[in-house]
Parts: sequence; C-alpha cells; structure tokens
Amino acid sequence: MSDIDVTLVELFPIDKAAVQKAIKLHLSEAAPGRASLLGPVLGVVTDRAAASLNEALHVDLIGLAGETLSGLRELHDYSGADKPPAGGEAMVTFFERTLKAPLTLGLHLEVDHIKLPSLELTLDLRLVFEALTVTVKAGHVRAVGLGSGHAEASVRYGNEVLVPLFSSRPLELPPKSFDPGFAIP
Amino acid sequence: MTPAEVALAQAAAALIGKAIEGERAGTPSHGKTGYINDYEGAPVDKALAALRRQFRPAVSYAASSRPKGVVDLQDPKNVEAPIGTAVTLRVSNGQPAMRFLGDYEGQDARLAQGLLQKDGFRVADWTWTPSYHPRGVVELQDPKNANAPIGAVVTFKVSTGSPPLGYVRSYEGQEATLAQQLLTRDGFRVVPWVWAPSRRPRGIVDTQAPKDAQLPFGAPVTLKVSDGTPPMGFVRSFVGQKAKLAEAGLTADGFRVASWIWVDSKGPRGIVEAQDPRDASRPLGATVVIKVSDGQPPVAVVRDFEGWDAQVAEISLQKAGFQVADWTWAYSSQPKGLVVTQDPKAVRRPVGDLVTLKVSLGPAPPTIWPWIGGVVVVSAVAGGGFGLRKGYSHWRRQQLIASIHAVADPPAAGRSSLEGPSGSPMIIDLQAELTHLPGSLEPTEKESP
Repeated sequence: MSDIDVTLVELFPIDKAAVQKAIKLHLSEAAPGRASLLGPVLGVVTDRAAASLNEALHVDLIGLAGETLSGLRELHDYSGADKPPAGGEAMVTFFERTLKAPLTLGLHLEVDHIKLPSLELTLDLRLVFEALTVTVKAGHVRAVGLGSGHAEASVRYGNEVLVPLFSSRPLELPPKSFDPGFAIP
Repeated sequence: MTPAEVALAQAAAALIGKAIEGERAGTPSHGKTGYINDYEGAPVDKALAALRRQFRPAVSYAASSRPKGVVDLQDPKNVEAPIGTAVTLRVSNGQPAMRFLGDYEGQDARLAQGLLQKDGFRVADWTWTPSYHPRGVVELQDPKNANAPIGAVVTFKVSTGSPPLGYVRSYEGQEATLAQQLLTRDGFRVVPWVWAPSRRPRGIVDTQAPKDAQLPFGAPVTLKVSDGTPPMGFVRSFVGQKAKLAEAGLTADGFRVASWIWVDSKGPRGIVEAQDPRDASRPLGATVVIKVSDGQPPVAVVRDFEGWDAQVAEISLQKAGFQVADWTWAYSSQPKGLVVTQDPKAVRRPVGDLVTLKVSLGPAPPTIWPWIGGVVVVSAVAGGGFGLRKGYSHWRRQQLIASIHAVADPPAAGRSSLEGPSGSPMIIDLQAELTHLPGSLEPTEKESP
C-alpha cells in the first residue's frame, strides 16, 4: 500500500503530556515570573498548544525529504538552472541510506499582549530507506522516491527528551514529483 | 390572204384609226399655241370650262386626299402648248388615297420620320418615353403595318435612353411565395430564395433587397426567407463596464437591451453591476437585462437580534448583506449563545457594514481566575516554513472559548468573580511554527543480529 501522502503528524503526533512538560520547563527557565500567572489556564493552553503543534506537523513527508535533500552537499553539483545540461534530467540513487532531517517546532506564546520567549522543541527525524532516488532537473529536486523503509523520531526540549526515539510503521513511499520542485542552493 | 396582204390591211387600219383619233382630239392647232394653267385644287367644272376653249381636257377620277370633284393632278400644267393639246385631269372621287404604312419600331426615329414623310405621311411631334432601347429609337409607332390615307398623321414614342422605373415594394414579413408573385407582377425578377435562420416563421420573407426603391423593371430582387430556426449569438459580458457602452455593444451584437434597472451599488454611477444573460448563447434579438449602478450604496435595515440565538443572528445579518465581526463574549443573565448586545441595531446602514455581536456565555460562574477577573480569550495559529502544508484548519474563536469555559467550570471555591475590577480580558495567543534544520545523508546502521 502506498503512503505517498503520509504526513508527519500521522506518524509522530505530539501528546499533551510532552507539551505540558515542555511548557512548564520553558516557563520556569525563561519566564519564572509568568509561570504562576499561567497556572490556572495551563491545562487549556497545553491543550491548544498541542493542537497547534500537531497542526504544524501537517507536512508531507516526501516533500519534507525533498526539501531536506535539496540542501545536501551530495547534490551541490546540480546547483544552477543549467544543471544537468539544458533539457537534461539526472536521477541520483542512494542505497541503504538514512536521511536525517531535524526539525524545530517553535511555539510562540503571548499572554496579555506580553510576548514570552518562544518555546522550541526539536524533532529529530530520520528516514531510513533501502534505496533513495532523487530526480534533478534545471537545478531543482523535481522528484523523490524513498521506496520501502520507515521513519524514526524523537522530541526534545533542549537536552530534555520529551518523547524517546520512536519508530513508525513500515512505509512504502513511491516516487513523487514536485513542480517547480526544490531549488538546490 | 397572203401575209403581205395582211400587213397592208393592218397598216391601213392603223392609219384609219389615227384619223379617227385625230378627229376626236379636236381642232388641229395649225401652229397656234396657248398657255395651260394649273387647275390642281380647283373644281373640275371650272377647270374643264377653262381648258375646253383651247385644249382638249380628259377627266379621270381617282382616290385622293382632296375633296370630291377637285382636280387632284393635272398634266401638263403651267406650260405653253399647241392649241388642242390633250390635258389630263385626275379628279378626286372623294375617297382618300391609301398607302401601306410600315413598322419603324426599333429604328432610328429621324430615319423613320424621313421615310414616312417621303411616303406622304405626316409625323407628329415625338413623345419621349423611358426605354431600354438607345436614345432616339422608335419605341412605339401608331399606326403601323396598315394601309393608311396618304397624309395621315403618325405618332412616335421615342426612347429617352433611360430604362423605365418601377417601385419595388417591401414584402418583408410576408409569405415568400406571395411576395415572389407580387414582385413578378410588378415587373421585377426574383432570384432564387436564400434560406436563412430567422426569428420569423418558416417561409416568411425575413429580408428583401432592394426594397422601397425605384428600380428599372426587370431588376433582380433577392429574398432571404426564414427557415424557421432562430439565429444564435453570443451574449458578451459587460459587467463592470459603462452601461451605455454595454447597450451599444449588445445592440451591435444583435440583442435587445431592456430598460436599465438601476440598483444601489457602491460602484460608480452608470456601471453595469449585473447582466442577464451573459457569456451565453442566445437567439439574436433576445432581451438582455442589465442592472446599472446608481452610485448610491445599498442601504438595508440592521435588524435587532438582541436576545436571539447568535448563530441565527449572524446568518440573518450576513444574508442581509452585513458583515459580522468575530463575536465578543460576556457573562450575562441571558442563556449561553444568545446575543446580549448588538451594534448597530434597528437602523438603516449601507450594506456591507460591520455589525458586532456580544454573545452571552451564560450566567457568570461565581469565581474563576483570581488574578485578573476578566474573560480569557485564547487564539491559536499554526504556521510553518514549508510550502507543502495540508489540512490546515482554522480554529474558530468561539470554539476555543467553549473549551476554556469547560475547563473553568466548575469554578474553584473562594476565588474572585469574573466581573472583577479590571474588566479587561486576558488574551493568550499561541502560534506554532515548523522549521527544518540542515539534514544529512548517512549510511544506514545495520542492526546487529
């Protein structure tokens, strides 16, 4: 079965407990004076924060991989609109590779029009696949195929691990095209 | 009797005959002469009485244009002649002299006139008539191809060189067969019909060319006859353009523009606000309705919905054309969800104006947030740096409020009331954002068996 449209939130939803833990840590470190102020509404704020964070994770997994791949040094040779030569199309295949694509989840909080320091969570995402195929045209990653594999992720607040490394179900990610694609810097 | 005797006898008889003739002719002149006057036109009695004194007149009667008994011809006349000379008088018997009068139609009128005059006829002043013949040709002659008295008057109708004209009446809207018959009767030539789509019934003349004009007889007339199918055209859209321009354009396209409907609009006066039909095929001649801005923004009554269900109020106000701001919430004695206050209300306002609704949260709980005493509003926005987002959903403020209310209820005992001294709401904004960090591609670590 194809997982061509699978999103991050489907694989790694962030639960409220982790969010609440992160908020508490964050407020105690970054805004100790305001921590008590949020106390009575911490539950609802956590609820909304978790929903917002998960909403932000409505991101296409293959697209995310494509954008991450476009920034890799392995593809720097294809930077520029004339790479590969005009009209050409290059297909680059990597075997048994793990694509590490770390992400930052920022949560901006404003209480009574006072901005609190943003809470920043790190999602260490790893895509583990047998053969990863990238199609490059005119200096852009135009298609990505990950084939069979799985994804792994952990969530941390600073050095504090909120969600230990978790492996997704097996995935089948066929080639997916993007127009105009992701520019290779 | 021998031939010589016969010839002799004949010669003798001839001489005897001459002698007898000479006696009858009168007295020999014996070298005397007399003048023979001209008696043509004179009564024969008078001519005979005068001539018999010296000459030997002989009378014969013949048809002549002169009156009966008048000398028509005399020979010799007006000469000196020996006494006793025979004078022949041809006297009119009262019957006119006849001569065949030819047909000169189609011939040059001057030539024809000369020939007729030579034959003794008189040609009246020509009358000119339009004709397809060249100018100066005899178009009609009367009489012709008949015996006529010499001296008779012949009339010519001579061609002016310009063809005769007839009036081509219009038969548009009439049955084509009848039109053809009438045009043919009027002297015109109807070319084979041209069948064409028309709003008229089948077989009716839609257009005729030429019509209502003076034309030479025999000129061709074209009839375009309806085949019963209406001609179609494309109704262009003129919305947003000047109404006069729209009307001109639609009319030029073959449509009829009904009287403009003036409507209240924020747009400039005279601009087409709506058009029906538009961007569609319709039979030519169909009526197009355009609504034209009068430059006055539409005004409607903002109904008073205080005490109504807020959802109903919002929908009704939106249907009336007003915008409804995000609700503000307040505890009140009204049941939850009813409109507590509305601004404006029960007044006329331009359509599109903003209406604010304050909606009841229900009766205020006895205690909640000790530190502020106001309404808490939480809004959350999720965002991200990726262009591949999907399923983004907008959190409705009222849903969030409902969530907070559920959290706050039941209130903790001993806390201060919501309607505390500060009165201002506590607002918490949340915004989540996803950004990616530089990645890497590494060989997959093999799991140890």
